[in-house]
Amino acid sequence: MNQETNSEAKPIIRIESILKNYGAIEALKSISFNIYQGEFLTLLGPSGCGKTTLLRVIAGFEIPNSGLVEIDGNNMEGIPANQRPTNMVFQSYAVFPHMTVGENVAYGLKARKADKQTISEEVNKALAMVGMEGFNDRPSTALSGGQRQRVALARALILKPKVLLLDEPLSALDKRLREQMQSELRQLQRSVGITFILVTHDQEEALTMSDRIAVMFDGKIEQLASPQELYKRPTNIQVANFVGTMNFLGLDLIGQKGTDFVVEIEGLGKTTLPMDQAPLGYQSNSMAGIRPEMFTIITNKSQSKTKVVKGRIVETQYFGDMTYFDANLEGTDKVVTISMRNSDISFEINIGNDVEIGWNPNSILVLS
Amino acid sequence: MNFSFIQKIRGESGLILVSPPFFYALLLLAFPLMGVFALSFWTQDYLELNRDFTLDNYREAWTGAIYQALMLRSLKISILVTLLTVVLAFPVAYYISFHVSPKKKPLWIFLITIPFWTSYLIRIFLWKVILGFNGVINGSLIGIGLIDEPLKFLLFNQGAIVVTLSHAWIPFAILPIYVALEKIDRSLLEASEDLGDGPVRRFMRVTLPLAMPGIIAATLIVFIPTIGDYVTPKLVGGPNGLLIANMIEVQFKKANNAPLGAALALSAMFVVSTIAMVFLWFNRKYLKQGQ
Repeated sequence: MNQETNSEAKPIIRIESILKNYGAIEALKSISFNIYQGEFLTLLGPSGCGKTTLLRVIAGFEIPNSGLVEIDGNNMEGIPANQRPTNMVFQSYAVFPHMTVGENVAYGLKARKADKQTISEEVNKALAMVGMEGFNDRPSTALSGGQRQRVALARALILKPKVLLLDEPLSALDKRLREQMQSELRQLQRSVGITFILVTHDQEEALTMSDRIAVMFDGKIEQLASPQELYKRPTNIQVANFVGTMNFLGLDLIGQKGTDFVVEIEGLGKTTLPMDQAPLGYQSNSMAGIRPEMFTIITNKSQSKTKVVKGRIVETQYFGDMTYFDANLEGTDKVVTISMRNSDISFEINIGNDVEIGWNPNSILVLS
Repeated sequence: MNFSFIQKIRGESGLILVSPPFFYALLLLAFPLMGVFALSFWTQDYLELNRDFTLDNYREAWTGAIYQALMLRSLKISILVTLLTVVLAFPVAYYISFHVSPKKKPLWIFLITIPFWTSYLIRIFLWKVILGFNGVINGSLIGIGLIDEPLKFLLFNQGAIVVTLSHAWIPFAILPIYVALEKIDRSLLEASEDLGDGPVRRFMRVTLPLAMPGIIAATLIVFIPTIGDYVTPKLVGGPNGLLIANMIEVQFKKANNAPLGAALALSAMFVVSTIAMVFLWFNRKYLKQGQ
């Protein structure tokens, strides 16, 4: 697990050996990690991987079977959700339908019995923070999805929590609004300096917003790293498959030369790989992984530094700035995905064309 | 494509669908009611009806001491029955909605409707058996030696009416409250807790206000028919337990004064409707939810 980011900073949340069972189902299998002050951490994984359960354990809505949750140095065992220094933005937003926008945002301060003057000032500040000044008297049932999202955020942030928990907050929004909210959330997090923990199944969202991402599968954290690290050096096939697109090719170990592996890669041939491209070493089930953008369709002879294989285009997908090609590697039935910037393509490439595909041994990862 | 055309067809098919119950209601509810309305302005002249318009029946109904007393007593008992029923129904509805596993909820709802399997009259007689002079309560208390003589205050009074009617109405009150509670998004309760409220304040600030549409429906469903009930007071109410509906019955039958009975009936309807409207107006903010 990677903890080089902020390793000297004080953890705001310490999670140690958290176990959570629902009957015979193990939702969380001994999870341990630290979250640091001011960090934007994302729990990323497919549905049912335990990410929401973990968030709810931190919030106090689920009691773990064993393990420790420490927030700001205090053990949270036996402390109910209403006494924890965390606040949550729910997937459904959970905006109270029987209250106005202002009453919703004031809810937590009223629970703390703050005086009227303070409440009204703070509510206005919180609404301004999420770009909804003047909405105080609007009934909350008259809001759009994006506005309810903002109310839920204001309602949580007004309490100045040590940690803000966000449970798939953007999943109900349409694509454009979602992208806008992604950057707004990121800016908001930077400006308030509160630690955010976001749960999502959307890897793109995780990559664009987070300082660090914890990729979860089946109740375990498979990798905890920065977005760059996660994309460039996923530690196993599962993570590599979930984050971005990855081509997997069969791999046979032929021998070892010093610290390097000599391998035979399906469709690409024999090559030498430095040891550090196999983070977990070579195993019998290891595969060679290569990102689509690490392949190049050679359209100009000067790009000949890389190794070259032949292939035939079987499918193309045009995305405006990029084109994705599926190519069948010569001598195999393997099809790989290749992504090219359209500005780098100097002639038309169509289905059925035979092309030369360049690749570089440095961009191969050995994954299990 | 003209879409109003489709809407027109839809609207018409809707009208066709509601028309049988509509005509049924018109025939058996609206027409008789109009008859009663007309009757209330006439005068009974021994065996014949004098059809000259008069407001005397209403004057009598609103100023006669006995009618005023009976109307007030009916209101008092209806309010007591409604309060007791709703207060008893809420915890049951709450328990089923929040603590019964989703799989078992239909079974619980089914069990709640079991009292409807027996006739309303049998249920009233059942209370006579429980509360009576030689009834279950007196028998048990004498049996364990707590009392020597049967308690006489159990039956034939207003308390017996309240107990009997509350028991009869309670399923009608549980169901709308249950439906309102089921509709509450559970994440709202978690949000309340997350924002700092303990269980009691969470209940007062979120659960109860959101359950109000169901409570309002339950209140009206119980309150309105209770005013018109005349069987229960007759059977368990005793001499001091007669209500306005009993008087209406007497006027139509024994006293042979149907016009006065009609005026009393319409006056009672007017009072109940007014109270119901005022009640709804006071609770109007809860009924706007979700629109």
